[in-house]
Amino acid sequence: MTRWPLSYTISLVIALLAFFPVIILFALASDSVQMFDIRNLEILSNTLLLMLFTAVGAVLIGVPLALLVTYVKIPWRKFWLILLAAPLALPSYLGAFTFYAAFGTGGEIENVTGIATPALNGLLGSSVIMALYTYPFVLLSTRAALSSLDASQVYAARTLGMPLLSSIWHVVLPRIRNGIAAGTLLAAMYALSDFGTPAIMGLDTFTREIYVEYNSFGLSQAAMLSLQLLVVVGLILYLESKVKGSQEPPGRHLTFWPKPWQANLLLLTTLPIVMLAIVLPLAIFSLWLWREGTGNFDFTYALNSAYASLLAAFFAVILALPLAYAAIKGTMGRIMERITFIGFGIPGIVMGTALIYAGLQLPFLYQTLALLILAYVLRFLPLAVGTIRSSTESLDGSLVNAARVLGASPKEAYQRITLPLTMRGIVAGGALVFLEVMRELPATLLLGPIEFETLATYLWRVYEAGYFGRAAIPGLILIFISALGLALMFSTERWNSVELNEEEQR
Amino acid sequence: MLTINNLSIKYGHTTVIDNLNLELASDEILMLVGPTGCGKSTILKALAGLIPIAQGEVFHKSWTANVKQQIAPEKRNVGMVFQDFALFPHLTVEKNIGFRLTDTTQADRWIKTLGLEAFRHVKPSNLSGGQKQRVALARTLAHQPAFILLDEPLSNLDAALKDDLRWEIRTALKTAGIPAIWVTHDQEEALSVGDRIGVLRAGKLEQIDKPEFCYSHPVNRFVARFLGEANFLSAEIATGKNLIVSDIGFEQVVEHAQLSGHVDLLLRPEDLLVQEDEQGNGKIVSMRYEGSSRLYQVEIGEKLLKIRTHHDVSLQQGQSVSVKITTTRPLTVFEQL
Repeated sequence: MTRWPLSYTISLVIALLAFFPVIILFALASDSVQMFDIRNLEILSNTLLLMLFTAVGAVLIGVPLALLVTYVKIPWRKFWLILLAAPLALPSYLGAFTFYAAFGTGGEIENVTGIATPALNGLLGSSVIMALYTYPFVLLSTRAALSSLDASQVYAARTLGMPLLSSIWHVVLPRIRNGIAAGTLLAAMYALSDFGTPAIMGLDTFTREIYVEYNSFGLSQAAMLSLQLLVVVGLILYLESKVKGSQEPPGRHLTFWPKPWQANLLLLTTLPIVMLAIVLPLAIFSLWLWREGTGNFDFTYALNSAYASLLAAFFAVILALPLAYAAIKGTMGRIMERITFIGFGIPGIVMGTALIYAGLQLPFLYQTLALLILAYVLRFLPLAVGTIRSSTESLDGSLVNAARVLGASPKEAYQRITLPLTMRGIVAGGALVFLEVMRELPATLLLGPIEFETLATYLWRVYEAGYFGRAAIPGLILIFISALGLALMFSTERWNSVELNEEEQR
Repeated sequence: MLTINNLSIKYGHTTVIDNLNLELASDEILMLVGPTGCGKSTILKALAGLIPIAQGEVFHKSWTANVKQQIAPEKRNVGMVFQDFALFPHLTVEKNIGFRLTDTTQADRWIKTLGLEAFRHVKPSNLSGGQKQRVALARTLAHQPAFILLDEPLSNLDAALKDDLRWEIRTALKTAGIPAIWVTHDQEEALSVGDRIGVLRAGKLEQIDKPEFCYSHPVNRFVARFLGEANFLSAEIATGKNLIVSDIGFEQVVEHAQLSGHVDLLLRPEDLLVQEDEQGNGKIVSMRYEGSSRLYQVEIGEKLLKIRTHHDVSLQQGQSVSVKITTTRPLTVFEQL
């Protein structure tokens, strides 16, 4: 239709808003004296190395695990899949925090067991943590590619005389390269934008340095660093857009039926991963809780977190609705929807830097909750849009057409057909934003109003002050929130696709 | 009832429908049939107001749609039955059927007529394909539209179901007294349920007439082939309008033939008779058993003819046969290519 729908107008405003932080950064960085120096080179190489090691580590852990949970008939397969995907839901700074406290001389492991462990920090520490918390990206994307891959080529290779493992190496892996690449790029993105892990591990990456500059009132230098980081992020996003999905027709995939002892042995090999990524943080926080009690944890921190998250979720959903609606309306709508995805590529610390400056220019916003909520919404809007849109996609145009033909006006069709059918997506999208915001650290650190402590920022203060024991309650609450997020993730779209794959095998 | 004048529809720069003229009488079922991609569904969408028209006009007694004045679907008093049913998944059968009705009389009537009483409170996802399409039909009829558009209503259903539902839909439309345009790619469906059929090719209407007329007097070879199996025999129209088919030694006077000299004669497999004959110039090449009939391929000279017989006529492969034209209806001839 040639008409310009109302949803387009609203979407255009929101899309322009998404550009807003980038524009601010450019304005701010133009004041910067230093464009690039030796120090930058070190930061850049640290960041790139962290990204590279994370990607390699994520592939080394993720691909074998994907093969295991997809092709091998193990007992309680769904349980293992969820357990192995669980680190995705945990913010990696929780891992970094507990690992930092657990390892090394005087670390908790030595305290409890008396076994001396080497300290874990710097590039090595950051890379280990990052790989442990991002491999599920690779696991899930590889699994998706594997489960649609027809087995007949492997059978052909085997009957032509090739052993099993080389068949998998030569016949399976080359065909799922794109699936692996997609997950690896997500892991790389995470490594680039995460603030907590390198900060706690003491590795000078862009995100950590931006925070340092911000604290020493070098806001324009922080903006310059932010822009440099965005260039790298942009590069990764570009690569990501080039990765295409599989073109192969889906078929019945390989299945191995190991003997019980073989299955148990295979599962045993996953144990170190589970122990490190999930059990260790839980154990450390529990240990602290047992040893030091609740500390002086003030429950208003949790309430603050919940309050801010609720507001952010509410506004994200309100803004996501016209966007999702515009995206199914036509090409222009889809473009505007895509634009809001910028927010997802902007690391939290960068978003914080941009909006801090906006706050300084617009004093009525400075140090207000509204500015913090704006940062959350800009950053996590894509989550809400994505979830809502995937539920609107299922209602292709024909249902609305059917309603129109029966005599309903566009408004009535929206109220009676589109809205009720997307309700599930709206609730899920809102919940996802809520849970993400609960765990958000860097933007909250920069933008949170004075005296407005949340779970994540409190954890950070505890780390800075060195009173690790006080992190028990916020740490455990954050793990609990993450578990909720995981449950939600698997109860919506992804879980359905998992179920579907299981069905197909029968 | 509904008049379509010079209708053209474009997708971007591609013309999908070109200069279509059509009229729907107030009590008829008009079938639009054509191969996939000929634009038949596009016509329905345009008539419902779901896509804009590029040229031409659509007249109805209470509205006129043209390029400047694209009437919204809800203002057209139209009913539409979709290929994928388009039932609202969150509403029960009853709520689907009574979607915009305040008075449930009509909804109850069609629930009863189409045998949906047992499913009143069921959600669409729990229905079979045939039931879904009955619900969709009931929904459309209950809203009492001035005319109904059916977009391949049976193509998502099993073969066994199609036959029954075809008649059920026709009967329901006739009972309701609502005219309909029914789009299909299935020639058998088109021939059997339509009062008239229109054959479309690449956005153009090739022929529109009664089914039996289109079948026996197609305007061109495309229509002839699309509506059923066709043999084309070369023949000659001599002076005195005498048609001579030298291949099988046949002579007949053709009426109304505007051609003379060498022509192609259209014969349906049922127009021919094949008989066992030691002296015959034909030979059986193959046989396809169809249940109630058999379809033989007979070689005469260089030509292969398809001939349909009763199912108990059994001829062996390689057997010598003679072929006769038995039809008594006026013959159709085409200019030779």
